[in-house]
Amino acid sequence: MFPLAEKDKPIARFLFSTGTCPRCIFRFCCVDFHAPYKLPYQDLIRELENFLKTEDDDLTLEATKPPLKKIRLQDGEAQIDDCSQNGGEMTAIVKDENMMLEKSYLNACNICLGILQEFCEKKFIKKVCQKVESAGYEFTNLVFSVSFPPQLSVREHAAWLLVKQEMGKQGLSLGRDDIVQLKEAYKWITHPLFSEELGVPVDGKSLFEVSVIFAHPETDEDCHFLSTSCPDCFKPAKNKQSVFTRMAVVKALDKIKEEDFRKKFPCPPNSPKSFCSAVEIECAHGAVFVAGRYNKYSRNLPQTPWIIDGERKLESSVEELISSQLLTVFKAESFNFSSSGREDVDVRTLGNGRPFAVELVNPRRVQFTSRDIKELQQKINISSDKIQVRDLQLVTREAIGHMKEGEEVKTKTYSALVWTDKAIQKKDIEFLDDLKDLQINQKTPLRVLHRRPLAIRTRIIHTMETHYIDEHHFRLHLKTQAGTYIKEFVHGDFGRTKPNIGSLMDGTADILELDVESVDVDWPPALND
Amino acid sequence: MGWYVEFWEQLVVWFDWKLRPPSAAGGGRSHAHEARCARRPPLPRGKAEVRGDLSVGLRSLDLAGAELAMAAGAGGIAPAAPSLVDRYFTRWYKADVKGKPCEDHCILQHSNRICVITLAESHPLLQNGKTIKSINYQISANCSRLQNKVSGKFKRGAQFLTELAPLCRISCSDGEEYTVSSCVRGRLMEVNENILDKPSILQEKPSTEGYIAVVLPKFEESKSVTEGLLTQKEYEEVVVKRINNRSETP
Repeated sequence: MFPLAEKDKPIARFLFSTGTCPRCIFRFCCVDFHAPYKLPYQDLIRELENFLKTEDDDLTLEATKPPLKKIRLQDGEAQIDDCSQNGGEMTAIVKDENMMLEKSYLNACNICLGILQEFCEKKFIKKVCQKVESAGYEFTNLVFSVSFPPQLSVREHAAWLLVKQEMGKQGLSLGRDDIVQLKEAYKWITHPLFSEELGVPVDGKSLFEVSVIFAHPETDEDCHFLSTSCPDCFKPAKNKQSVFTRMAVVKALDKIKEEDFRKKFPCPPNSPKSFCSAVEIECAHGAVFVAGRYNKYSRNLPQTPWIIDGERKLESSVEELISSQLLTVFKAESFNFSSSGREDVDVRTLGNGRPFAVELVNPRRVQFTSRDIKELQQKINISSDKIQVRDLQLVTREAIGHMKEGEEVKTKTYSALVWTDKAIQKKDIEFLDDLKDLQINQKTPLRVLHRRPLAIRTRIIHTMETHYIDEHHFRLHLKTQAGTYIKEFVHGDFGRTKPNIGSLMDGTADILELDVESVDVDWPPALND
Repeated sequence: MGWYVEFWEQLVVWFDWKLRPPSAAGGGRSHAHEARCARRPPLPRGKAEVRGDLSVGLRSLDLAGAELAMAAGAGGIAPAAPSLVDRYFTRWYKADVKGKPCEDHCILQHSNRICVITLAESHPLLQNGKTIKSINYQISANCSRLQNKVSGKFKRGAQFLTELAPLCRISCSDGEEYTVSSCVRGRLMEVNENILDKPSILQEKPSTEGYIAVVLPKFEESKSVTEGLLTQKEYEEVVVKRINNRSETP
């Protein structure tokens, strides 16, 4: 079932004569079903030749120069194999076919520069798959992404103008979008081959991405004329190596007038000497997320690495103690730690702990049972006595939003050890227990003013509960609105938090120790045991 | 407490400070004394260490006698927990600001580079018997520190201060007027408006609630802004020398 009809003949013949490959001919003849593209290249050439056969056939064959011997031998073998599979008939014409085949294969297509030729072959797909296998990823499906050199768009444009003109002669029109996109045709051909080779489906939504970047240095200059025609499309940017990005070229092609293009770029595009090359074949797995709750039992452990002027203040951090273990087990490239709020270096987090989530970037291992995760949690807990982790689980990226919401709206409970300048008795502090929903005004604490806007924020101290210790000390349990600065509420921050424990007691108070007793966020869900 | 401040402000117009009854004269100060004298007992878990230079410094002043000794009354005894200021700030001093004898300033620099401008203990305003009549942040006809507004994380719109920039003028009941200067280059974050309503906190708690202003030095100048200032030790030496000179040449 050769897909071209009689009406396509002039176009097909014309393109073929300019050095265009059969699959690109299909594309420009708007063949939008997959099967023909998947046929072996040799068959396509043969069928196309047959289709285009006319009286002057012999002339075409005569024009074909004999190829190099070596290549002929190699291709001849492949051809014989193929023929035997297909029933092994027509051995007599094998030689002729070889000549035709080599003619096409020696010449890279003037439109796709070889993308729909050798890069559709099993041999290339196998090469990519070997790379995938050796990268050591766990995956159950994949997405295949390709990046073509920008000049392909220029050549595509030139071919389109040409075909449009030819069709115009027949009184037909051809829109830019009527043509089958190169990328589409390439997908139709390669996806089944990947599935077959790797044994998993190709799925656009897969987190596992195999990407190939093609380049064709020989024709890189194809784009250059566009920068004089449409200078405003090619603005240099810091992070770009070249101004000729695919996007910029497509934009410029959209703008340029047909006659200007034709003046400056050959239509049909000339035949290149070489094929594209796959300059980069890479694998990457989308991030996976792990959440849980942590306790922090140390007053010398910051939540994130504490580095001032490039110098480390303390050797570890909560984020590193947790994430380094995850990084190893998930074989990830890097991590991003986030949590529902944070505590100061000298503050402990007790109770059920603080919700956190870790994004594992480009993980090699992603398939875990709940038992695996439980073991991982134990591994973290054994590794340090400064922190403990619970409710460890795999979560989605979206679910992390719950944690951040909680950060702003939920209440927190704390326990503070308070010092007072005045000698106190039990009765002197009891009044604090009776204060409910005390409204306080906090100016941005001096200790964070260098990095936060200066503002006065109103916060609510929902409840307080005092436990008398001695003449100058008591323990204060507080339940507060999220975002309350507790240390400042106790010592007053130079009178910038009003009222404060000192002012309420008509004296001076200071905070000696602070513990977070609970972070009242119900995400991630608690796990049994 | 507001009522008695007002009351005394009225009263001092009529009375020379010497005529005030002893209890009343100390009225404003008693709190400050208590605050500074109150011992901070060792913490239950022996958490903090006292900075050595602090207690030594205070003891040496103790020997020097005079006003400061009272502040350091407890200095020699049990190790105390460091105060809020000692925990997070470094004290820098400038003596005889703008050439005016004894008008010493103390700049508290936080480890995040923020500077809190305060009066040093030895400043005439903090000596016995001074009564503050008014504090004025209007430093010239068209510049008031109260007009300072900062917005956003990057504190746009802040007034820029040089070392010599005046922050406020404080006039006393005895007719003296003192100018408080920034002493550090940087942008003005805020001035302490609390002392306008209640000037006595300036004397009661000069290094905490009685601060004058908050200044944010440029990031690249966070170290250099304190270069011309005295360390706590150097400052104490200046004060001791000053007292000795006074007793030698009466």
